[in-house]
Amino acid sequence: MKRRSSVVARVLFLVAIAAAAQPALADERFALIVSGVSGGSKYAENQKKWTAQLETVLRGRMGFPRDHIVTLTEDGTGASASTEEGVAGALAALQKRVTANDTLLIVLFGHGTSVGTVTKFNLVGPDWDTNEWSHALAPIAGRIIFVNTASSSFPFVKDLSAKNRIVIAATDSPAQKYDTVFPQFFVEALDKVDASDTDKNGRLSVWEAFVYASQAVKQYYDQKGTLVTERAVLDDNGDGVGKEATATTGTDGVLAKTTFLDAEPAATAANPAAAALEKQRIALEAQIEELKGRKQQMAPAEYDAELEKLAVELARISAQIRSK
Amino acid sequence: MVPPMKFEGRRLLSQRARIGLLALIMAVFTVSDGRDGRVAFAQGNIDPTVAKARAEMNQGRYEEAENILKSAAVKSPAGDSALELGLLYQTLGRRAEAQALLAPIANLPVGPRTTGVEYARLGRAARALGQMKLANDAYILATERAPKDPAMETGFGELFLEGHDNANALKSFQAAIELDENFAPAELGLAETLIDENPPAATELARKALASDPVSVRAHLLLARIALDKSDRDAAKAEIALAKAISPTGLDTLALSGGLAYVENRQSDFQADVDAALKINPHFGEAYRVPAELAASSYWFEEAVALNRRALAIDPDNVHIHAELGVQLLRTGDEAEARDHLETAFKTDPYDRSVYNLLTMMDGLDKFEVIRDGDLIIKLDSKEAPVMREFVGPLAHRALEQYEKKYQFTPKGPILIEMFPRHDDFAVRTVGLPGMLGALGACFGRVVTLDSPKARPPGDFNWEPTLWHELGHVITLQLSRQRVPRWLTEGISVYEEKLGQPDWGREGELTFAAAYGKGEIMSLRELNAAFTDPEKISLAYYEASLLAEHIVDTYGWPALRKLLVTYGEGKEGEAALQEGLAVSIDTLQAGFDKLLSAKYSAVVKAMAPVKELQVPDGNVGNVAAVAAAHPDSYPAQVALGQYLWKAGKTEDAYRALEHAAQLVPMATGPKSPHALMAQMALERNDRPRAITELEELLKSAHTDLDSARLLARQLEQTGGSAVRLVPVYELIAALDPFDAANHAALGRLKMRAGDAPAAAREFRAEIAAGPLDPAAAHSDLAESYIASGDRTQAKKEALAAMEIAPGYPRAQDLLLKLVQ
Repeated sequence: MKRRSSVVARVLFLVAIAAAAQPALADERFALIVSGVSGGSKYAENQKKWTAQLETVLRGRMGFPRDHIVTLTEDGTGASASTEEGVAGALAALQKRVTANDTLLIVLFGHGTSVGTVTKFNLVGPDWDTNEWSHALAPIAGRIIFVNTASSSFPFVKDLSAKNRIVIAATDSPAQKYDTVFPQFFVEALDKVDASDTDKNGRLSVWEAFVYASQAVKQYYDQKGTLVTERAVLDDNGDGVGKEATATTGTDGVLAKTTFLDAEPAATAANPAAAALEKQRIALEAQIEELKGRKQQMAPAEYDAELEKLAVELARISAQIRSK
Repeated sequence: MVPPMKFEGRRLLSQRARIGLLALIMAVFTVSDGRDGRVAFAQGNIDPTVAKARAEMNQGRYEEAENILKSAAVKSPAGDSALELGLLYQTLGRRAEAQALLAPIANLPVGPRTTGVEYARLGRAARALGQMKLANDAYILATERAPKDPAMETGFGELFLEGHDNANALKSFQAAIELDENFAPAELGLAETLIDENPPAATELARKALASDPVSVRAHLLLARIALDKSDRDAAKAEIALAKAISPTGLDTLALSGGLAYVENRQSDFQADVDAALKINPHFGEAYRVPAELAASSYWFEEAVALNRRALAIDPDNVHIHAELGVQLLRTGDEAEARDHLETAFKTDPYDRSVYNLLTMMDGLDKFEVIRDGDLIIKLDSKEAPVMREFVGPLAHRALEQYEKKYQFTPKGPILIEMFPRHDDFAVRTVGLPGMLGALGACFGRVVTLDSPKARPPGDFNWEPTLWHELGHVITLQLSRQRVPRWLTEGISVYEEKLGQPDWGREGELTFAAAYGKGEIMSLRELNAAFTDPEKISLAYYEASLLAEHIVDTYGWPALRKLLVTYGEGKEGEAALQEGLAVSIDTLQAGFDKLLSAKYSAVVKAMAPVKELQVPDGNVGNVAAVAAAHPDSYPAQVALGQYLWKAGKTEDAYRALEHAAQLVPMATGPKSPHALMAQMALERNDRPRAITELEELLKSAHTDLDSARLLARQLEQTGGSAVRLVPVYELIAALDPFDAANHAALGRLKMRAGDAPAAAREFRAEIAAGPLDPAAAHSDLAESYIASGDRTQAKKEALAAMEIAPGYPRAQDLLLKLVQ
């Protein structure tokens, strides 16, 4: 019985690895930034800062075309206002542009409320609850990365969860009503890719940005010596049950690990020798991932020896690639 | 361990428990209560036979008391006289006879018509037999059935007090006093409850009880204990003498008298009291336990252990002695045997809060990581150990090496250091009960306990000087054979903090200077007692440190050492000063006064309040005029600086604040001159000036984490030199050792400075604290190992980096370098 289940687990893991090895089919990347009603100068200042930083990093390091970024703010007018009409209009316009192979990143800055079963993100004027967001997103064909950085954002995970969609909420409970610091660190994750790209593959996945921001939030509260009043969760398997960055259970994360926020690198050189090395590199990286998946079932010495063998080989191949 | 039933739930006793109790006990007759002596008799609420007997017992005339009670007990075996006789036999160690009388009373069933006083009688019998749950249940019903009788609440209070449940004891005694404000037994119970927490209130209550009952032996003994806590042995002796005059053969009097003789090294007197007590009751373990308690109060923990062992030899089933021995063994570092005795006590009395707390704390302590490092045994919470193990051992070794050299003394080991991430666990480990909010660390000679950095929010305290301080006690306690007075051991430890690092140990200076200005500091004769006064203890610490400094500066280190040895030889008080320093206390006082005057007169003058500033009107002109009229006034110059800043006259503001900083250089806090100047500089984007001011501020503010972090940011943004950055990062690391990014930054600077082992330590701490970029952290550590020549560890770290990030070129290059 024990053996059978471990085999099943291994097969499932290999399926996950295979999925992970597939590059995301993102032809075009779009972004919608909604900075909702601030409710005070201190919050307004923060939201403005985060919005500006996110716009800058998306245009810069992440390589989003300027005209693919739509920003709605509290001070905006007409179609640029973070009102019900502004959001509906922006999403309707994006729906026309975003195709099935595209990715749309939506980031909300501001405040949320949750009363009973109704959870809203506070816009200028009438707010939108999770149902309204859900209806507005439904017609969009591409992959959506929905990041609600506001307080009481947790119910968005359940209500917006869908296939081919990654939903991140800054809180793991609707009762977490305090102002969040998650947005600060989510933006920082995009800005400090050298640190947030934890697997050092030169690309920033949604999962890496989520993990970086989550850990930075925890450190923020630890340094203040107060209880952590916000724990971000991510859902990407469509079951509406979020997962924290440090959780060891739950199947969320596969899609987020293979969905990248930055631009896809240029295609590998046409040189057959280089292409062969690249192929070996990818295979070795996959073998290391597979080995890591078996770690718990292996004797430490055996695991270490196998890891060293693969790592040395990978290092040699990578060095050759870099020298070409 | 299964927690015992909480006493707090007493007023919500379940119906099931009530029914069980009701089924168990039968209705009985007369009154039983918590009263004793003439007071109760005078109030007419008690069986006259019992009252007479108690009066005899109060005076130690046990035979007479027995004769009075016997016939009544025979007539009514479930009555008050039987109970009282049973209690008397127990006091005299006649256990079989006591059991024969008390057990039937404790086991009598009750009915719906059972009265409160009957339940109280049952409760007293059960308590005497060690059946604490039954006693608890009985008092619940007693207080419900006789809600207006203060004796019920008093009896309940005594039960709580015995179980170290002071919070509930306090409530019960207060409830009794609310019913009868002159109820002496409740006053005495309340006094006993408050003896540690509020000695002045306890004294007042004991005196009030004595006023209504001048022959209360208990009140005299209580006053003696309060005097002993204040180190006022003469007053204690006087109270004991009064108690002896009333009751020359009173067992409790003999125990306390013997205890005092023991700590005064009057061995023959001690033995005489023990012999007298054991003649009355050969199983009277208190004859040794009470001296053990006093020995422990004097920090003679080894002696306390030995005395408790003697107590157990004659009274092996006494749970209080087992508990006390357990506590003292914890203080000598013998945790395994301590647990055995505490478990024994717990099995018989699971309601003793102190024992329960200690065992619960020890259950947690069992999960701590134990690090054996030479003569040190360091116990750290397993979650904190990966970070703290990097720093605790090295700091402890550094401190002890310095101390050993300076004091020419090698302390007996092993020295046990335990750091607790929950302050209450530290408090329980230290005194058996939670609380002790003001305390950060404690030392028992070979055992040091302290709050870990996680016990309080970052920036609340600095664990490094705390450990340094406590290890100072290891030296002074052992060198003096645990005989050093509190003022000297604390004074030396705070003084050693200041010598350990220039910014340590100075936090009390400004408060002390202010108190000095108001004439509120203690004379040398008063200093030791101030350590037991919650109002004065903080001042006492700082004053004692200045006195230690004065002794060293005036008479030299050898003299200070000799003074410690003199105390160790048994000399005390002024005689010890005379022999150790060859100076009278008056001469020492005169010299000390001169030092204080020279050191603080100017500061006191500068800090004097300025009337005109009491109602500031915001007018810069007026403030300027006030400041001009008071050029050497600190508040005037600070006020001027702030007003000028607001008015945009920055350069003038700087001048005023610079002058204020000169007047009171040790000022800290957000409104201090350096902090204000730093804010002003930041507002003007004058980063170099902000850095200078923050550096000045931190010279006296070693717990100001926010300022340290602000300074680090400013230095980083100006590409600050390692010379300036390292001490700031080190301060942040001390205040918040779990800041991974800070360890990383410090490690990199250490690497650049060529100190690879120190860098490795920081990188290990970074990894243990949870870095945001773990692959980079492992690569940093690998590089530091390479620089240290440890290629094996380096390879492990490179592989760890690649395990996280297989495609990380830096880790790949490191690995290739290491396998070639």
